[in-house]
Amino acid sequence: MERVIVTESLTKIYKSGKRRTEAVRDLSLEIKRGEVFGFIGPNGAGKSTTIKMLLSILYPTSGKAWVFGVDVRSPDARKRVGYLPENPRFYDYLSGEEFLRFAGMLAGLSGSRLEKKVESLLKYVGIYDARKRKLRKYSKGMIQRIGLAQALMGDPDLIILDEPTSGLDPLGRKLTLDLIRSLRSRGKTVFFSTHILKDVEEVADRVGILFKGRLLKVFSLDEERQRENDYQIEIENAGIDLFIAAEKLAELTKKDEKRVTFLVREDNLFEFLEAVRGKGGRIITLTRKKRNLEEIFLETIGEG
Amino acid sequence: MRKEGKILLILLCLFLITLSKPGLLLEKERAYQLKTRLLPRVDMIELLADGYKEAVADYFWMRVTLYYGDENWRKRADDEDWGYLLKLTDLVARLNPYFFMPYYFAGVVFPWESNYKKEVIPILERGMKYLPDEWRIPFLIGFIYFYFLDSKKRAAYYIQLASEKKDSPEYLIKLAARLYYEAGEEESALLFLEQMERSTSEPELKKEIKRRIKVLKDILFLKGAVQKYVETTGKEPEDLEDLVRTGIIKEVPREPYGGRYYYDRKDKRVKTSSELGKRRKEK
Amino acid sequence: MRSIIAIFGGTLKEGVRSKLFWGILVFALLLFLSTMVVSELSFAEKEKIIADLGLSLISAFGLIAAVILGTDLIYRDIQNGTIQIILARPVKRWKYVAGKYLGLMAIIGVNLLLLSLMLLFVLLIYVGKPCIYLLRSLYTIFLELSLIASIGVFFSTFSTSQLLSSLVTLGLFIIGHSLDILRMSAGKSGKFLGFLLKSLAVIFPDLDFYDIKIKVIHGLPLESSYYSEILLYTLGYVIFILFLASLIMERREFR
Repeated sequence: MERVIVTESLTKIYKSGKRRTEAVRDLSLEIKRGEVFGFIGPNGAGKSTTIKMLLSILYPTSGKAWVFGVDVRSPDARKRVGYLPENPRFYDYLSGEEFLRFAGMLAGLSGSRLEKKVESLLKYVGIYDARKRKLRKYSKGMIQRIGLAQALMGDPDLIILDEPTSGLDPLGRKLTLDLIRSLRSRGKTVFFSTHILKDVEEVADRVGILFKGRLLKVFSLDEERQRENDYQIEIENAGIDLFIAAEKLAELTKKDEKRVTFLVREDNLFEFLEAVRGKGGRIITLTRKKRNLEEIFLETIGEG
Repeated sequence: MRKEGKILLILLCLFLITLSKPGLLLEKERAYQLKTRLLPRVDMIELLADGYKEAVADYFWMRVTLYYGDENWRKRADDEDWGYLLKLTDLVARLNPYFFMPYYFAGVVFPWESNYKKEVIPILERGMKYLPDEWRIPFLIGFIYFYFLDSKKRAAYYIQLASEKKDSPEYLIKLAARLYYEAGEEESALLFLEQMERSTSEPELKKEIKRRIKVLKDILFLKGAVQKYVETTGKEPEDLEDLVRTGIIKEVPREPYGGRYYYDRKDKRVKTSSELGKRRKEK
Repeated sequence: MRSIIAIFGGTLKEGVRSKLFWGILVFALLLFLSTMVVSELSFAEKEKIIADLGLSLISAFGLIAAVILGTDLIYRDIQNGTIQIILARPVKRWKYVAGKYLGLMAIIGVNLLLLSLMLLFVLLIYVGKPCIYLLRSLYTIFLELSLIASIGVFFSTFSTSQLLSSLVTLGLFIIGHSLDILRMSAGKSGKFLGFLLKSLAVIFPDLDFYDIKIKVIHGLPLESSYYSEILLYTLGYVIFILFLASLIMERREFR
């Protein structure tokens, strides 16, 4: 499997007089082709800094990085990459159409191919009707959309998005996440950073947690959510004796007229089931409760 | 770009610049020459510079000193060049009339080094108007009249003006008087000296002035006597003793400097051999 | 190459759509009209006066445009962050500088052209004949401005204050026209200072080379080699200055 992004001990240290700030420290990461990678961390963790180093907008203090096997110091590393910065600002005086054309030319397109691409992307992000309007007059959501279009101009294989949903209304957010999903389905690789965990939960395959410049944990979302967790068991016909027996082994989470729900730890599972069977309860559902990302995140940071 | 590429680029730039520079310098020289023959429109500059007149004056003054300070220019300058320089100087003096240097420059440099002598005078006269306390300006005018334009009467007038201004050197008084005398303007000299004598408090100077007053009074007296002689005898006297002999005067007055009064038949004037103190005879 | 054209086009559009650009032109037009009034003061040679004043105005306004737009160009991209999506493309940074500069020169060129048309129009009305001969001066004015503009662009790659960059660029323009005074002062100063001043006068571009107003207005001839020489001279400096600007851009980081 091709490794789209590889970094080796990427470090960025800012020195201002006597003060020394470590923005990113020893970041080693590999992004595989076709995956959606969510890069999460609180504000100031170093996410944007890392991204900018990948794009050679910033230069690392030490360490190396490659994109599609090419050292990021060479402009060729950015050939198949599309980028949308956070809080993007573009040339106000251009119209949407002109701007996309401009981006396309920078990406190496020309002639009729360029025109076709501009038209199709304008439609794809839903800006086609506003294409002749100057960017100065666009709303934030529209800027975001034209920004996404701009990133997709050269039909890139890697799309890097820095905080793509911050400040967007639910519609804008949906559009962005749908776009990420559709990109994955077309075999593209997406690397995006955010502090909104919900976004990552919805679309990411793998996750990296960045905190104070250090990469604390990289994991596959599914796997991690399913590790070490509890079972959720719904029971009917629960009598008093069942309750007494169950309470020692599990946690009552829900109770209504007919049913009760217990949260049972893996270790206690079989004992619990025995108890239920013994006391005459009937199991309605038995599911593994998935951990959510927030828990994982806070736990990781707490350790870090 | 590789190191060699960068160095090559820098060399290329250097090459382009040094290749073209000599020809451009030549062209600039030519323009320079032209500039010295094309005069700035004074009234327009005065109008446009309004509000910044002093700064513009400074700029043009710098140009004046630039040309004058350039030995090559001085060597090759002809009448047109000097005329241009004078116009520039005049412009500076017009834009900033309270600026002393251009007047001084005009008065000191042009009459000596160029053929522009009397043209300097209007500039200096303007200077007198704006800098009324400055003795050096009328002095320069006087000098030009005296030395270059051979007009002692006017020279005397201006030296007199100069001597009346504060801080002027003492000898100006004597110089003015002598010039008047040499111009045959004894009355003017007398008036001037009497006024000076009144306004001077310094005793030594007062004595000097009194002496000159005596000489002039004597000369005027003798002048009147000669006239009478001519009227009565129909011809000019050979010698001042003739006046005594014919009884017009009692005796020839004594010359305070130890010289002798005599009648110059060529100039038809009474003069003194000491030339009003120019040459002192041993007492 | 396409990237340079793209950036060039973007810059040109920006200039032509900017209020500053049109503001300068309108203001210039007003002043041109006033030259007609001023020429009334003189009894003869109205044409020469209007031509002289007009060319001076064109130089002055062109200078303002070159300095302000030049120092603003890259500076604004950096301050706004609009430079980020360009840098994220596979575009070499020197191409960005080149594209911006060419766009700037196009703007200045358009500016000069319009100003000259205005002057020719004024002269046509007033004197009655088309004074095409003035266009010779346009060539040198344009070259001089391209030199000044390149200096402005150079400063805008790293300066954090556009005002400061503009003032310094303007200062360098004045120095460039005062090299004679510099040389004279060098002769009159001590050894060390004199050497410093003399070398400054040698290294600095001599902007007096560009001033051919007198010859143009009075219809006097210019050496035919002058036109190519002044072009080479300008190219030498501009290429070097843009090269320095590219070096700075190459080493720079952006927030």
